[in-house]
Amino acid sequence: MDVTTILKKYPKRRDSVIEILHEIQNHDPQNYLSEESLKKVATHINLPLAQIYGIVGYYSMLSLNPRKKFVIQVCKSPICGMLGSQSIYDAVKVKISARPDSANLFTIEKVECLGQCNQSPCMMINKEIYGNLTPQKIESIIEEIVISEQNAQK
Amino acid sequence: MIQEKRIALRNSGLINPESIDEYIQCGGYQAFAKALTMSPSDISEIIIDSGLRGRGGAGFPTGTKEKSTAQTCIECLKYIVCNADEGEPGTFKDRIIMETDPHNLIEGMLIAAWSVGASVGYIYVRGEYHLSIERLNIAIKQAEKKGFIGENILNTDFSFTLEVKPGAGSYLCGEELTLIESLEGKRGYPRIKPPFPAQKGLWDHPTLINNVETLANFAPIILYGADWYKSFGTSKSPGTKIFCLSGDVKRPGYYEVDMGITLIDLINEFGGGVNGNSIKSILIGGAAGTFASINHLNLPLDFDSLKEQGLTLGSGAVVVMNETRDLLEMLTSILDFFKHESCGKCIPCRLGTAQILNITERIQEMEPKERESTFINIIQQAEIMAKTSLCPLGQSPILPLKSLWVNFANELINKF
Ligand SMILES: Cc1cc2nc3c(=O)[nH]c(=O)nc-3n(C[C@H](O)[C@H](O)[C@H](O)COP(=O)(O)O)c2cc1C
Ligand code: SF4
Ligand code: FES
Repeated sequence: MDVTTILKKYPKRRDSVIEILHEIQNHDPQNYLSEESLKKVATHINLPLAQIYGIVGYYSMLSLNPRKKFVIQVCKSPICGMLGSQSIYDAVKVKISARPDSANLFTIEKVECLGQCNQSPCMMINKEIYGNLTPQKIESIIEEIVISEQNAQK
Repeated sequence: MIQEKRIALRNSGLINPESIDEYIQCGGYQAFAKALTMSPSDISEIIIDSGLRGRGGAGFPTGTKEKSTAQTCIECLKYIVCNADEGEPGTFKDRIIMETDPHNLIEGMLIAAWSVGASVGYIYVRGEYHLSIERLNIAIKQAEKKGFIGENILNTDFSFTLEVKPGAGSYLCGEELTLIESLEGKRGYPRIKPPFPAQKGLWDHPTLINNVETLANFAPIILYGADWYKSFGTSKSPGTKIFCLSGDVKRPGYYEVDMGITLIDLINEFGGGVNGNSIKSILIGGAAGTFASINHLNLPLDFDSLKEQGLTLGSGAVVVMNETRDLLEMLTSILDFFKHESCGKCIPCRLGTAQILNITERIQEMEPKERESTFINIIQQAEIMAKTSLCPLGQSPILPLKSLWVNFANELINKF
C-alpha cells in the first residue's frame, strides 16, 4: 500500500500520527520512514516536518534508516541478558555471514525487554516472537526464512 | 500445595479470546449490566471498599482515584485510559490478559467509565504487542456489534467509544502523564505533576488512567462484592496478584495467587524451584525494582511488607538468580536500560544515567577498597538524581542500586 492510500484511512489529526507512522513503515519495502513519506505525513496532519522528525526520532520502533526485509530484534534486557542473549545475537551474526546470499534479507538490532521474559532469551522478527532460544535454534530459524524466500523467488 | 486463585485471569486459557459468545457464556458482561443499574458513585464506593490497589506499580487505591476523577467536574467530557504499555523488564502479565481474555479488560473499562462519567476510552498498548493489539481490536468490534459499546448502551443514556492506540517503543511512555502526551501524538516527554490526570489529563480533560490488571478485577468485584474480594490477599493489599516469574526457575511463567504469598512459596510451589544449586538473589519489580536476598525468602509479597524491608513489589516481576550469577553484571544491564530509556529532557537524569553506568562498568577492575568508595559514590549520585529529576524515571535507578548495596555489599566488594 502506498503512503497516500494509507493516509486516506486516517483522520487529519495529530493523535493519529503514531499509527500512521507504524503503518507506513510496515508497508515500506525497506522497513523505514523516508523523508518523502514524512513530508506527506506532515502535510496530512498539518504539522511542521521538523516536528514529525522529532516524533520519529523519539520512538525506538520507528526508523529513519532503511532496513532489510526481515528485522531481527534480539532482546538485551536484564533477564534475556542473564540467560544468554549475547550468544543469541552472536549466533545470528555468524549464521547470516555464513550465508552471504542472505545478507540482503536481514537487519539485526538489539532491543529492550519484549515482555516475553517467560521464554528468555527471545527475539522478534518483524511481528513474530521466537522464545527459549539457543544458538542451534537460531540456525534453523534463519535457514527456514532464507529457504522460503528463495522458493518465493522461483 | 498452594493453589492459584484466578480472578483477573479467570477465563484465561479456558475460552477462545476471539469469541465474545464464549466470554458471555462464562458470565461476561453481566457485571457491566449490573453496574448500569447502580449509581456511578455506588460503584466507586464498592471499589474503595474492596481495597483494590493499582497493579501498574505504585499501588495507589483505585477507588479513590475513580472518585476524584468523577468529582472533578460533572457533565463535562472525561476520558478513561488503560495503561497497557507494559515495558518494565520481567513483566508480561498485561499481555497475557489482553491475549487470552480481551473482553475482561473491555468490561472493566466499561464499568470504570460509567462510574467516573467517561464517554471516550483509549487502550494504549505497547507497539511490540502485536497479538494483544489484534485481539483487542477484534474484541472491540464484537462488543460494538452486541451493543456494549456505542450509543445508549443497553437502553440507558450511557454512551461510550473505545479505541486501541499503539505505542512505539518507549518505556517512559508507561508513566501516566507521558503516556497522555504520547496519546496526543507528541514525543514522550513527561509533564510536571500536579496536576494529576484526574484533574487535567488527556487534552486537559479529567482522565482516569489504570493498569490492565487493575481493570481486569473490576467485573468480578462488581459481581461478587467487596467482601468477597477482601477474602483474598492481606488486609492492606487485598485480592490476588499476577506474578511474573523469570530467570533461574524451572517453570518461568505467570501465576495469579493471593497477595502476601511468600517469595519462597512462589518460587518453589509455582516456579518449580531454582534452576541451579541455590538462590543468590531475587530482583523484585523489574528494572525499577529491588534486589532481595535469601534472608527475604519468607517475606510476604505485598505492597507494605516489602516496603518495610526497603523493597518494592512494583509490577510483580520476580526474577530469580542462582549462585552462578554475577550481580554486578545484572546491575550494569539495568543501568544500561535506564540510560537507554532516559528521555533527556532534564539534565540530572540525562547525564546521571550515563555517568553511573560508566562508573559501574569500571567497578569490575577495581581493588576492594576502591570498589567500596565507588559504590558509595554512585549511590550518592543516584540519590541526587532522584531528588533533582523531573519525572519518576530519574528516581528509579536508586532502587536497584541501593538494595543491591544494602544486601550484597560483601559480595560486591570481594568478588573478583
Ligand atoms: C517510568 C515509568 C514507567 C511506567 N510504566 C507503566 C506501565 O508500563 N504500565 C502501567 O500500568 N503503569 C506504569 N507506570 C505507572 C503509571 O505511571 C501509573 O501509576 C499507572 O498506570 C496507574 O495505574 P494503576 O493505578 O491501575 O496502577 C510507570 C511509571 C513510571 C514512572
Ligand atoms: S527524569 Fe529522565 S526520563 Fe524523566 S524527564 Fe528527566 S530525563 Fe526524562
Ligand atoms: S528481558 Fe527479554 S523479553 Fe523481557
